[in-house]
Amino acid sequence: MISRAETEVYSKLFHIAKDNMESAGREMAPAEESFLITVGIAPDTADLLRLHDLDKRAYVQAAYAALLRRFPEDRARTVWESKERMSDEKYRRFLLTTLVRSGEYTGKGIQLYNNYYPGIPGVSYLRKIYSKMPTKVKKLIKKILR
Amino acid sequence: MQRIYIDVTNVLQTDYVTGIQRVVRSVIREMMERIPDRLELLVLTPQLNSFRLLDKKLFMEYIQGECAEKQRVYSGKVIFPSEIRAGDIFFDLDSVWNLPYKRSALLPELKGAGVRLAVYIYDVIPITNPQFCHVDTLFNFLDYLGAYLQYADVLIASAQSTLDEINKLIEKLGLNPIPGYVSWLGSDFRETPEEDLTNIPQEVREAASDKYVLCIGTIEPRKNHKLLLDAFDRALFAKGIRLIFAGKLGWNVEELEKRIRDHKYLGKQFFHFTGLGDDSVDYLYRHAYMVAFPTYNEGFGLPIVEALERGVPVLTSRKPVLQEIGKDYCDYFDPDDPQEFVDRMEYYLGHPEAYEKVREHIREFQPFTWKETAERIVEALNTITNRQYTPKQELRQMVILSARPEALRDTLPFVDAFMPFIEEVVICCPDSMTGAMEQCYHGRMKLTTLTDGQLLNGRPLPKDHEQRNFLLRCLAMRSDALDDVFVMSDDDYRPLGAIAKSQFVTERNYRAYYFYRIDRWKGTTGSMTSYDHGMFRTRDFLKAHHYPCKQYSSHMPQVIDRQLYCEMLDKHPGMEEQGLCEWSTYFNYVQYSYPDLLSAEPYVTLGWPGSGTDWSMEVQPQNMLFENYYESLYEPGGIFEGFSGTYYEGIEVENQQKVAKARAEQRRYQIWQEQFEHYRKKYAVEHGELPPFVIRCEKGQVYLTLPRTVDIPLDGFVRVPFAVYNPESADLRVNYRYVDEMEHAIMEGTAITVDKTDQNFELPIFGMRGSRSGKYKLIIEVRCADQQYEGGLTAFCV
Repeated sequence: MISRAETEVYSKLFHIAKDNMESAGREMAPAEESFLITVGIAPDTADLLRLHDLDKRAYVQAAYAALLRRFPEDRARTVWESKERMSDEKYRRFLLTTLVRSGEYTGKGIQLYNNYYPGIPGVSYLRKIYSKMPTKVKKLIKKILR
Repeated sequence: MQRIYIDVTNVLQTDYVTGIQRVVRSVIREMMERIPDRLELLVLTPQLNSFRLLDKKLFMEYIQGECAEKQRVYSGKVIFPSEIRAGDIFFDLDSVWNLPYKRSALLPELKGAGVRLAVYIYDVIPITNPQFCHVDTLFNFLDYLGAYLQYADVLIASAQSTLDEINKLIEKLGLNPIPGYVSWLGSDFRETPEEDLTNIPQEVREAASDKYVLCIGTIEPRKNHKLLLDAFDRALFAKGIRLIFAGKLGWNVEELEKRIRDHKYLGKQFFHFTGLGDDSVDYLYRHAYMVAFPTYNEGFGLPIVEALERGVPVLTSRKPVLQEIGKDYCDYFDPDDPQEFVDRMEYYLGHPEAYEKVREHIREFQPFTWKETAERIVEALNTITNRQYTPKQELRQMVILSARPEALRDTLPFVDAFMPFIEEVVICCPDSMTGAMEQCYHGRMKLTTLTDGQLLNGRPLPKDHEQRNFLLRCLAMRSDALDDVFVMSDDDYRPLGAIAKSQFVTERNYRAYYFYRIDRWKGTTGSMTSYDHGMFRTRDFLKAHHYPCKQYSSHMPQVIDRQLYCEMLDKHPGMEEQGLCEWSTYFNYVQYSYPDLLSAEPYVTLGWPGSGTDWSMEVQPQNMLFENYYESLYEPGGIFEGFSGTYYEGIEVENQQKVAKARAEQRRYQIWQEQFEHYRKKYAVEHGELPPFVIRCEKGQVYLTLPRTVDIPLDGFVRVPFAVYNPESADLRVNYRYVDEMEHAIMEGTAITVDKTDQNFELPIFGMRGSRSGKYKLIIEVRCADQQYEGGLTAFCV
C-alpha cells in the first residue's frame, strides 16, 4: 500500500513530466489519477476496487493499466470514447468483459481481485461454459464476436 | 559478506541485444571478474512476485554465447524480496521499468526487509523530454524513477550531467539528497583487420565508396534524423557528400519513414541500412568523413565514443551530456538549426587542414573501458558499507516496566529459576508503588526500583498506554541505573524453561525476535486498541525513515544495547513523545544501521496472540521458550484450564504440556488457513478471479459483493478478507449467520466494527461446529446507520 507522502512524490513527478510535455506542445494523454492507480500495484493481481472513483475516460486508462499493464492506444481510446453514452455501470462492465476476454489479458497471468461486478466471469470460467456448448451455438458466438 | 542482487530478467526474456542490455552484459561480465562471490543474478518468476536465482557460471556462458540454452541457467532456487538478507544490496542496472514487478511495489518491500538499494540511471529523458517517449515507457519510467528517488541508498549515473538533472529533480520533489556517483559507459571497440571485407555486404561497401556523413542509431524523433535530411537536401547533396543512416525504424516516425522511402536519391547518394552486423557498423564508422549525432537529448551518446575511438570527427548537438563526453574532440551545433550544421560541414570541406587537425587531435582520445565502468560501479556500491559493532556480552540485568505488583510477584520466580544469568531486576514503576514492588519478590536477584517521577523529572505522564510506555522506556535508557546491555521485559513475560544467555546475545550478534511485518499489520479484528494505533504510528515512522518494517513486539523478553537505543533517540529528537513501539523502532533501527549486528529471528512466544481469531499469523513460532501470560487462558473453558498460573518447582513439565497443547492448536489454525488458501486458489482457477468479498458504501447505501461459494472448516474458522470502499466514513458493523431452509438463524457470529479508515479487514467466520458436514446457507450482514444489508452465499463446511 502506497502512503499519502509517497503518492505525493509520484504526483509531483507526473506534473514535472506533464509540464515538459506541454512545453513541447504536446498533451499528456493518460490522466494523473490513471497513473497513480498503477503506482504500487501488485505484480500479479488487478484490484478493481482501486479504480472505483474514476470517471469514464480515466477508468478506461486505469483498467487497461491494471489488466493489461499498458495504456490504451489511440485507436482503442477512440473506440471507448464513442461508447461513453452508455450508463456508467454498463460501460464499465462492457470494458472489463472485453479486456478480460482478450488473449492479451490471459497471457499476462494477472488475477482479477475485488471484482464487484458479478457477471464478469474470468476467462477460465467462460472457456468452461463455452466448451460445453453445442457446436452450432459455438459457431454463432464466433460469428457474433467476429 | 554483503551480496549484490541484480535483476537480469530483460536479458533472458528478449533474444535481441539492445543498447542497455549490451551494457548489462558487459558490466556483469566485468563484475564477475572482480566480485564473483558477492553477485547474485535474478529473473522474475512466472508468478511475478518472486525471483529465480541463476547459476552464475551458466549465465556467463550464455551471454558469452557458449551455452545456447537459456533454460539451463536457472539454479532451481526461488527467492522472495522479503527473504533477501538485511544489509545486502539490490542493484538495478537493466531497463527494468517495463517489467511487471513495478519498482513502486518492489522497493518498499525490499526496504521493509532492510535491503539496501542502488540503481544505475542512464538518463531521465522520459521526464525532461516526455514528448519523445511512448506513453507506456513514460509512465513505467515515472514509476521506476519515483520509487528510486524515494528509496535509493546510492545513485549511479552514466554521466555527470544526468546526475545533475537527477539532483535537480530530487530538489524539486522535496526529497532527501541521495549519494550520487558517475560511471561512464564503456566501449566495445576492438582492433579488426580492415582488409577483411568478407562480412561486409556489397551495398555497404558501395555506399561507403565516396565521402559521407554517417548517423548511427534507431530512427526516432529524439535522434533528430530530420535535421540531417534537411541539411542533405539543402546543401550536402550539391557538394557531393553522401548521407548514410544505419539503424532500425523506431516509434512515431511515420512521416520521416515516408520521406526516407520516397527520397529520390535513396540508394544513390542517400542510404538507409537496418540490421547491420558489428563488422559492417565498424566498416561504416572507419570510412566516414564525419559522424553526425544531431540528437535532442541523450543519456550518454555512445556513437560519439565509437566514432572518436576510430579517429573519425564528430559533429553533434550542443547538449551538456554530449559536451561532457565529447569534450573538445567534437564540434557542436544547435539541433534546431540545420544551417549551423551545414555551415560547420562547409567549413571542414573548405578547410582540409582544419579537418586534418581535428583528426590529429582525436588520436589523443582515450575511451572509457567496461573494466573502468564496472570498477566505478563497484566503488559506488562499496560506499554502502554495513557499520560494524561488537555486541556486549555482560548480560546480567532485566528491566521491567510495571504498575502491577501482583503480576510481577507471579512472574519473577520464573525468571529467578530459568534465567540464572539475570542478577538484577530493575522495575520502572509509579512512585506510589515502590514499596509494593519491593515486597513482591525476595529471591536471589537484586531488585532495584526506578520511579516514574525520577524518569519524568517534571514531565507529564501521557494517558495513552502506548505513549506512556514508550516515553518511560525511552527516558529509562538515559538512566545510569541501567546496564549497558540488558534484557527488556514486561511483568507478564515468563520463561517456560531454562534459558541460556545465548538466546539473546552471541559472540557475533544480538538476537531479536519478530512476529509480523508492521507494514502489513491490520490490527485486532473488530476493536482497535491503543497497541494497534501505536503500531500504525510506528509503521509510519519506520517507513518515513526507510527503516526495515519487522514487528518486534513479540511479547517476550529481548536484549537491548543502551548505547544503540540512545543513538536512535539522539538521531530522532522528540521521538519519545510519539507513542511508538519501543521494540520495533529500536530493532529496525539497529537492523538498518548495523545489519551484521542483528540476527532477526521468528519469535518464540506462547500465548501471542492470546486467541487464534485475533489476527492471521504471519510467522508461526517454531519454538516456544517464553509465555505471554493471559489469565483468561487458565480460566474454565480456556486452553490452559487446570494448569498452574504460578511458579512451582518442576513446572517445566507442565509448561511442556502447555506448549504441546498450543502447538496442536496452532497446527489446526494452520490447516484451516491452508484450506482457505486452497479454496481461494481453486476459485481463481474456476472463475478466473479471486473470490470477491467487497463492501461498498456510497450515498448512504451499502452494496455487498460475495462469491457464490466459500469453504469453511466445519470445526474451525477462517479469517475472510473483505475489501471496503467507504469514502463517507460511514459506521459499519459486520456479522454473519447460518440459516436453515426457512431462513431461520441456526448459528450466529460475533459482530465486529469496521474502522472508518479501513480499506481491508478480516471477518473470522466459524464453521457449523457440532453439525454434519455439508452445504449451508451463510448470510453476511452489514449494518450501516440503522439499516441492515445482507448477502448470501453457500458455505461448504467440511
